Amino acid sequence: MTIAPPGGTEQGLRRLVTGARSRRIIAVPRPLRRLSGPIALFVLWWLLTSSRQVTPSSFPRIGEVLDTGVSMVRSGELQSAIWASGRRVLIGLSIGVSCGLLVAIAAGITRRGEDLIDSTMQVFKAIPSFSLVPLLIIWLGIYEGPKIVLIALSAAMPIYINTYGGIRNVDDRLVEAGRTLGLNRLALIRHIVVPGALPSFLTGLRFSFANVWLALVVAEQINANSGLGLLLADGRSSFRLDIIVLVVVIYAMLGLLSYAFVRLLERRLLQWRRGFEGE
Amino acid sequence: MTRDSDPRPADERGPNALVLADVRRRFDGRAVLDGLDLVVPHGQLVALLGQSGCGKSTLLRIIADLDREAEGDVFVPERRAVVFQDPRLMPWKRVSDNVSLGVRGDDVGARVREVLADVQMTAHARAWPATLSGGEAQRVSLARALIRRPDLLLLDEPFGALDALTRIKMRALLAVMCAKYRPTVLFVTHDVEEALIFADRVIVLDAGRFTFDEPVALDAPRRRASAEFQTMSERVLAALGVVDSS
Repeated sequence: MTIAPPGGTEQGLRRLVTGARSRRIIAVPRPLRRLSGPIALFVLWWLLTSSRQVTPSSFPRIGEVLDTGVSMVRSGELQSAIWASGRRVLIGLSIGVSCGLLVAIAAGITRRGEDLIDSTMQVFKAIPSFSLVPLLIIWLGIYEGPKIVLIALSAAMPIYINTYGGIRNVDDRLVEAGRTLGLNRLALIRHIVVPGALPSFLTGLRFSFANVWLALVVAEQINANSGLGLLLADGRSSFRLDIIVLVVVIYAMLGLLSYAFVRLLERRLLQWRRGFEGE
Repeated sequence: MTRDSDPRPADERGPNALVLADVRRRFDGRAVLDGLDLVVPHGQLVALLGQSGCGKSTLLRIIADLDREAEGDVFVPERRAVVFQDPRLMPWKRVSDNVSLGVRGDDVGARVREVLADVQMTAHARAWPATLSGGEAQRVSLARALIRRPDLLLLDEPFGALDALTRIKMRALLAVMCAKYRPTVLFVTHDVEEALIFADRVIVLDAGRFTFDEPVALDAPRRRASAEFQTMSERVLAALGVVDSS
């Protein structure tokens, strides 16, 4: 701030900072800035484990985990574990999302559907899905069945809640406008209700992705015969901390990957929200 | 309530675009519309004036077939269109897709281009509604109504939310559009000058009844400053129960 000379036209006024953007010396690109946090975490890990304070028996060194990872990739063990778990998530997620979506649409677009379905879903919402594990084991055995159902259940609920809410929040005035344009019921749903509820559906999908990885970990403890859960169990029984940490890191990476996928979907499908013109 | 649409081609149609007979609407036992009769011949530009809460929007909603709980008889043509005070564009559809929404036929693309040119929005055909100004959005809303070639165009305070300068431009555009597309118009407004500049006939709705219904016998071009305009304006204001001492 500079003080204006007394008697000048700016006397008594404060000078605002202008041209600040161009004066910035180094502009760090945003993706790089966003990466700085995770990188700092790895650096911290490396620093802590390379000092003498932390022994490899309490937390493995970063290099050790990497070596284990590389050798498990060489043997093909890691890929098959990721595939076995990923397959469960994909199947469970597909079933859960489809069911949640269908039920939400049924409850959302008709009064009768709402009366029949929504109160029932409120009851189901109150049940922690992991408490169903014993029941699922008795009904479906200990192999893929209960794992996939558990994952599907945990995916379906956020989809239902958000999509149903989204449908109910579609602007009534737009539906009215659609009616005056001569749209029939099906066209109203296709052109107004569905796109109007899409942002909420995608929010639900975010929560679903968060839930399914959690459900996967629980599901794979039922009877770890394959997948990342088996690696985790093996690591625990043989005190292989490097394997345990490796699996945890892989869970994190899969989670990040799924968030990136939802973000991509949002960017694609919700273009109109950003108000960006043309392609 | 009975409601007849006119499926006949234009040369076979009757003389009128809108007929109301003893239309009543109650909300919780309170009569908002209390026995309305109205006959509007094809091509007439009717301004419907009234104070806030007089029931003019209720009447428009009944005619637009958005309120089926009224009593009495309403007769409207098959092709109707509505422009609301807010543009009500679908935010997830580009301008051209908003205009073509619900329009059938194989020349839809050409018709969209024509009507967007008419409202001077050609350059924004691919734009998202969120990027438009209020006036631009309302022009698209007008295009969306006109592409249907409506026999009856219902306007519910279409310029009410616009700034004064945009409103002047929009009035002129509406006059040009009506000259080209020749719809019958029911124009709900609370602006007496707007009504007198635009309409062939002015109706005042007060406490659920029509209390004033006269043709606007002013020569074109209508000038606000003329003595006839002032006289008519004062009479309409009196019917609205407003005394303008300015």
